[in-house]
Amino acid sequence: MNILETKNLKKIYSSRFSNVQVQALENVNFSVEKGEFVAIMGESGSGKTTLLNLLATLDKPTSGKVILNGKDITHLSSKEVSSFRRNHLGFVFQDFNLLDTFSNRDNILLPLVLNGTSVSEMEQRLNPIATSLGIISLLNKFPYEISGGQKQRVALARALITHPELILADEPTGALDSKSTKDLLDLLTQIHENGQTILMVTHSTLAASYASRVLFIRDGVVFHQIYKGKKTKEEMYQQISDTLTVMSTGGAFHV
Amino acid sequence: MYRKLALQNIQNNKQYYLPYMISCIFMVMTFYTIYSLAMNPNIQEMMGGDEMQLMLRFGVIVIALFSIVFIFYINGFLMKQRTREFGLYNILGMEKKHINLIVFYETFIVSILCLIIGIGLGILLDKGLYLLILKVFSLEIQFGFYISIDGIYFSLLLFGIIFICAYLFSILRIQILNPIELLHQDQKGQKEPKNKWVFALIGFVCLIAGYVLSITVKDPISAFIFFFVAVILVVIGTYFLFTYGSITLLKFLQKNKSYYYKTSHFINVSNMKYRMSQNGIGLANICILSTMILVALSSTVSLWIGFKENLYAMYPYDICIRQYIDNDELQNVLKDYSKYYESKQEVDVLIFSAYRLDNSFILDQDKVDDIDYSNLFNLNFMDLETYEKYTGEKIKLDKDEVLISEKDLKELKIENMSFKVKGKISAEMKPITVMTGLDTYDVVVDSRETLEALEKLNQDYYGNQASYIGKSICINLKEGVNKLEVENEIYETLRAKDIITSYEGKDIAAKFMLSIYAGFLFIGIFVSILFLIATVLIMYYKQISEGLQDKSRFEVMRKVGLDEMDIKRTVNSQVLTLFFLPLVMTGIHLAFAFPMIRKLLVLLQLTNTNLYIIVTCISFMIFAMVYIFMYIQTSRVYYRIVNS
Repeated sequence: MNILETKNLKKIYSSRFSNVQVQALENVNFSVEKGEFVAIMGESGSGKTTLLNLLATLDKPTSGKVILNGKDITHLSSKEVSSFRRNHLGFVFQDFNLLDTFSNRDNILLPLVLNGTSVSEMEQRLNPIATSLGIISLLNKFPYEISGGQKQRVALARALITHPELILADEPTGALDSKSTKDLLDLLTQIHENGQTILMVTHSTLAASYASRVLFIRDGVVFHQIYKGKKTKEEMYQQISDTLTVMSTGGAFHV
Repeated sequence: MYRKLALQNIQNNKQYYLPYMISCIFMVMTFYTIYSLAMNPNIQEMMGGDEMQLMLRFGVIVIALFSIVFIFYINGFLMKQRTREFGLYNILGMEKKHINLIVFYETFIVSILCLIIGIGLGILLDKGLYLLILKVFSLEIQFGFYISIDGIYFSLLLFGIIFICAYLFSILRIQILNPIELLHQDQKGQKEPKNKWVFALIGFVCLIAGYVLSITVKDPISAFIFFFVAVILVVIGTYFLFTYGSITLLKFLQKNKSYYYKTSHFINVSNMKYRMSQNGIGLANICILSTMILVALSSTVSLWIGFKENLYAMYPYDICIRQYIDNDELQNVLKDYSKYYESKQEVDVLIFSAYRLDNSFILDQDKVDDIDYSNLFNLNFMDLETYEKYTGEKIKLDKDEVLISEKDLKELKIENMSFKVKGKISAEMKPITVMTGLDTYDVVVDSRETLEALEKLNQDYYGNQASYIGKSICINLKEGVNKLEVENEIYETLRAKDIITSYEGKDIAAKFMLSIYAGFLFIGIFVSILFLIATVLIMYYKQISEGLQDKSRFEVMRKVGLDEMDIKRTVNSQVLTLFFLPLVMTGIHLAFAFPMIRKLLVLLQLTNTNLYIIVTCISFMIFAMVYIFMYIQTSRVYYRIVNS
C-alpha cells in the first residue's frame, strides 16, 4: 500500500523583483510504500530540498499533487497544515533544530504538548522511545550540554513521539562525525525494521546505502532508482557510488 | 576608507544609532540649558534667584551622573549587538587596530554631531526658559542672547570625556575577543538560569521592609531620615525580585507538571525563564526609573500648585515683627508707613514650644522616649488685659484659669503648672503667628504675673535657648499698595537701624518660595523627561535584541508544528507580561511610597494631601498612556523582526 505518492509535482520559483524564473522541480513522480526506508539523492541544486519542503507542507507546489495516506496535502489551509505536520509527520533536520530554552525532555515532548496530550500519556510514550534511543540519561540536560550525535538522537525522539506515518529526514548525518553518523544510521535502520516509514534526503553515499530504496534526482526529475533487495550494505554502497559517477559524467539512465 | 566605512556603518545601523543619538543630543541639550540657567548672572540678580540657582545646580549634578551611567549602558548594548560584524571584519583580514580606527571614526562622528546639535538646541531652549522665568517673576523682558561660554565648555568637557571613555570601553571589548568568538558571541548557548531562591527571599524581605518603613513612619523629620533607607531597600528588593524572584516563580511553575505541560503555559514559562534572566535587570531599571519619574513629577507639580495655599496658611499677615525690647525708634518707623496699613495688632506675647502628651505639655524633651514631631506645638501666651483691649470683651479669669484656641482641651498642664480651661478665644482675636512650621495654640492667662511665671518656667528648662516676653506686631497692608515694595522698604529701614529680632514679609517670602519651587519644577520636569527617554530607549533596545533571539526560536517551533495563531498568541502574552510587570510594580511602589512622601511634603509646607493624591493619579495615568504608546511603537519593531 502506498503511504506517499507524488503526481506531476512541479515547483517554479519566481523572484518578486525580476522576471527570472527558476524551475526547481520539473515533473516528479514517485511513491513510497508503508514500511519503506527511502533515500533521495542528488547534487546540490538538484531540487531535493525543494522536494522535501513540499512533502513537509512547508511550501506549496506550483502544480501537481502530494498524496499522503490517500489525502492530497497540497490544499490544506494554513491552520490545518500545522496540526497535520504535528500529527502525521516527524522531522529530523541537519542542524537538529532543538530549542535551547527547553530541556531535552521538553524538546521531545513539545509536539505532544502542542497536541494537548495528558501528562501521564506523555510519560508512557517517552519512556520506551528514550530507552530504545539510549537517551534516558540525557533527558534532564539541555541541548547545549550534549554532543551533536546526542542532539540528533533527541531530535529523532521528538520526531517519533507522535507515532507519525512518515519520518522526513533532511541530511540527518550532515553535521555529525563518522562515529555518530554510523550510530544514527543504525538507529534509523532499527526504527525502520520496527515498521516505521522513513524518507531521507542526503548526499552521503554511506547514509543512502542503509536505505531499502534510493531515488536519484537530477535537474528537477527523478532520474533513476535502486532497490536494495537482497544486496548487502557494501554492495549497495558500490552501486550507489557507480550510479553517481555515471550521473555526474552525463550518462542517460531512465526510470 | 575607514572614515567612509564608519559613516556607512552608522547609516546601516540606523535602527540602533538614531535613538542613541537622539537621547545623547537631549542629554547634552538639557545639561547645557540647566547649567547655563544655573550660572546666568541675570537670574542671580533677581530676587530669589540665588535659591533657584541652588536647585538648578543640584539638577546639573543629577543630569551629569545620569548621563554617564546611561551613555555607558547604551554604548555597551550597541557594541554587543555589533560584535558579529566586528568578527567578520577581523576574519576578512582587518587587524584589530583597523577595527579600532573604524570604531573611533564612528564614535567621533556621532559625538561631534550630538555635541553640536545638543548645544545648539540647548542655547535656544535656554533662551526660551529664561524668557519664561522672567514672565513667571513678572520681570521686564530683555533682548539679546545670553550664551554661556562656561556652559559650552563644561558640556564639551563632560560629554567629551564620557564619549572617550565609552570608546575606550568598546576597544577593550574588541581586544579581549578572538575572531571566532566575535563571530559566534551572539549565538552562544545560554545556560539555564540557576534557581537562587535565597536571593529571591532577600529581595522580597527588602521590599516588604521598605514598604513597612514607609507606612509606619510617623512624622516628617523621621520620614526625611528614613526616606533614603526605604528607597535603597525598595531598589534592592525590586532588582532581586525581577531577577531572582521571577526565576524562582517560573521554576516553581515548571515543577507543577499539569500546569506546565499545557500548550499555552509550556512555551511561555520556559521562554520567560530565559527572558527574565536576561531582562530582569532591564525591567527593574524600567520599574525604578518610572517610579522616580512619577515621584519627581507629582511632588514638584503638587508643590507648585499648592504654593499659594501654603503661603496663606503660613503667613496670615503681610508683615510680622517680633521684638523683645520695647523700642521707640521701631514705633517711629512703623508710624511713617501707617498710611498703608489696613490693620495693625501689637501684642505682648511669650512663645515657646512644648511636647504634648494628652493634656499635659512637656518642656523637658529628654523625658519623651519616642519623639513624634507632630505632637510638638508652639504655645503663644498673652495676658487678659491685652486680650480685652483687642476684643473689647470683659472676662473674669482666676489665677488658674485660661482661654485657649484649642476647643477640646479642658485642662492645660505645663510641667508643674496647671490651668483650667475657662473658654475659647474669640474670633475677634486674630492668631499671633511666627512662622515655624509647627502647629500653634494661643493661650490667654489672667495677668502679667502669670505670664512672667511662665517665662521663668521656660527659662528653667531651656536655659540660654529660652525665649522672652516680647512684642509681636502683625500688620496687614491695604489693597492696591505695592506690598512687596512696602515690606521691603520697612525691612531695609529697620535693618539699617539694627532694631529688629525677626521680620517677615509675606510677599518677600512668596518671591523666595516661588523661585525655589520654580527651580524644583524645572528640575522635576527635566529629570522626568530624561528618565522617560531612558525608559523608552531601554524598552526599544530590549525589543530589538529579543526579537532577534526569538526569531530563530519561533522558526524552529513553526517547523515542528506550531501554527501562526499559536505563535501570535504566545508572542503577545510574553510581550504583554514584560510590558505590564514594570508598570504594575511602579503602581505598587507609588502606593506604598505615598505615606512617606506625603510627610516629606509636609516638611516642605505642603499639607494638602488630596492635591498630592490627585496630582499623583493624573501623573500616573498620563505616564501609563505615554508608556503604552511607546510600547506599541517599540513592539512593532519586535513583531517586524520576529515575522520577517
